[in-house]
Amino acid sequence: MNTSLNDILVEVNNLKMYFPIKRGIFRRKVGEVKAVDDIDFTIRRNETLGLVGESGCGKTTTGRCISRFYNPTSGSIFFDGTDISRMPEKHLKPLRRSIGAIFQDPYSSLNPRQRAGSIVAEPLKFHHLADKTELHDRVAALFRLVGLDPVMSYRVPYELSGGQQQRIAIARALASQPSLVICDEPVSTLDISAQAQIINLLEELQESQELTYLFLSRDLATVQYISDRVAVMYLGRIMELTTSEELCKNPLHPYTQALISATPITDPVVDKTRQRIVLEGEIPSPVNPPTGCHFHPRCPIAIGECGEQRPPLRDVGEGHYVACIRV
Amino acid sequence: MAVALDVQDLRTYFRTKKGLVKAVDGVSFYIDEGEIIGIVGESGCGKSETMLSTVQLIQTPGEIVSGRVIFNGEDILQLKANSPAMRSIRGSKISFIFKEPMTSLNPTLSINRQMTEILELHLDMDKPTARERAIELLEMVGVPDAGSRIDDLPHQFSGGMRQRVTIAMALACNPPIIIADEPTTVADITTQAQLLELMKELVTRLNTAIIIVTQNLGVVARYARRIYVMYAGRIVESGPSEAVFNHPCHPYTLGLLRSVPRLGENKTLRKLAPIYGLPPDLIDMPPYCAFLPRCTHKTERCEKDPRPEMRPVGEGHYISCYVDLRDTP
Repeated sequence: MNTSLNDILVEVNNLKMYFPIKRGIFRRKVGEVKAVDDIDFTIRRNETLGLVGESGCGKTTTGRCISRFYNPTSGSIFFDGTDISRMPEKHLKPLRRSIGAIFQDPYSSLNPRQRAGSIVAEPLKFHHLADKTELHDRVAALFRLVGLDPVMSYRVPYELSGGQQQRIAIARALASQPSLVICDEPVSTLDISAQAQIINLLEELQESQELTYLFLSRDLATVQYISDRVAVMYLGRIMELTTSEELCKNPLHPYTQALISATPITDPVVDKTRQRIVLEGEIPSPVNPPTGCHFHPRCPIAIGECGEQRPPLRDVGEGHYVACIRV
Repeated sequence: MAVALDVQDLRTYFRTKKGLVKAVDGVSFYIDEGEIIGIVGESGCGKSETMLSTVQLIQTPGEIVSGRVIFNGEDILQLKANSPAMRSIRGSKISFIFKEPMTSLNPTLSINRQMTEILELHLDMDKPTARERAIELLEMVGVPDAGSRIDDLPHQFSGGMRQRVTIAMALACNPPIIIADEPTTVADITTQAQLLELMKELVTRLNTAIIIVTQNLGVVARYARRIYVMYAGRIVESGPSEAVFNHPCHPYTLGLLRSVPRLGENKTLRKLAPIYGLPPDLIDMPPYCAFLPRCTHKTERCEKDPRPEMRPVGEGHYISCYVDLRDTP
């Protein structure tokens, strides 16, 4: 890959996030939830990196580590050249300005008693980005940016449709002019037509505002559509990472193949010709993950060695990374 | 193949303070024995209300205003909502699977208690026979170690397993029809595939007819033989799934299909084309086509004429639209 250091906005190395399980009156630590278990990836400037995986795979935790909502257990996170993984809270304010976030359910991410305009104004006030005279105009500009009429700023969230609520959440995320926006399942609770509107809006904004996205979702069809590169996660680890196109054309990891096969498509004629892989069993608990490759108990091509050693995420050519010894 | 359920011109209105909400406004559909059909539409289009109306589970201020629901040669809308005959149909003839298994199961009762209750009530089984049958059902839907897990409470099961339990409960009385309302929306993708394959297998094995109600076009494209697309309380397009998905004739159906990302098509290959605007308020619906304000294929006629009736456009393929998309490039 020909990427100079300056092209890279985020670099994650050996990131681990373990949550302690505490029991008893002394809150003794009795175990750990290995939500993110040693992962590496980079996000280039102006690209969309997709993280796809089922619930509990660690995609949200990864996003929250990068935005430092969590303090990672170990590993480093370089944001714009600075390691932020252990930066003390009091120094984080500039980081909070540079990283925006959009969440799954817009209604629960907006204060139901606050008017839309004041929700969007909040980051401007917090980061002292606009004085009182400018505030109104800046909010109106943000409303127009996300395709809303500024008169909507007097509405409260329940008076808006799901798509409009998500637009407010996007306007709020963009108010502080961040360089990275973490989109955590931004469309999965919306109606189909609103989903497409929001996806198109995110794309337009990426271009006009020079944004970099980390796009988290369990829907492979959406992730591969919006992302330039996609990382497939399973039980806290990255199984495969490559360009979106390559992932769909040439999936190498058996889990990716199962995920693609399980994602239904809207063409019944083509669908009949597709290979069906229905995985047995369920995702194991991250408290007690399987040894070796986390996927091996459900893997259709697993051999004895798979249960012994963790397969490294290795480059198989042209930036296609896969963590499987059988490939 | 015999028709299992035939719904004709069903209308369910809700009288609210703001006005009359025509949630279901003249819906007709049928399902054959052992068939899987899909009812597709966005939230608020009336798909769930239609299903609840077929077994009279509509509560005030809602009211089933008119229509016929023919089951076993009898119009079951004529039965009183709480009559023993209607309750027996709900319990053992037309059963439901809902979206969130945790809310459709009682969290304080064991699975055994909840399953045997159905069997004792509707099939007059005694307790030991009912328990045996319940274990058999759980095994059939793939709950491992069913004999001991039957005494567990719902929260002790994973989400996917819980949904298997509700499928087992829906199957308890071997009903000819199961209505699955968003059965896999909360499940993970690989679990969703497991559950849907299971339901498909049950259809072939037990000759059960399944109505899948969903927003997920892909799910019904894969599993349903016929599709009904709903918009604003009405069916706007219906037909065999190959016809509806590969040759959609109603602008709304086409709009939906162009709004969803397809596997293997990145943003650089094909741009999504969303349907702009919002679904209409179901109060004071205009006399013309409800989709008109959002339609990109409208003609002058659409504004002048009343809401279009269903008309055939192909073998078993119907649309309610004056325009036929196959005629437009």
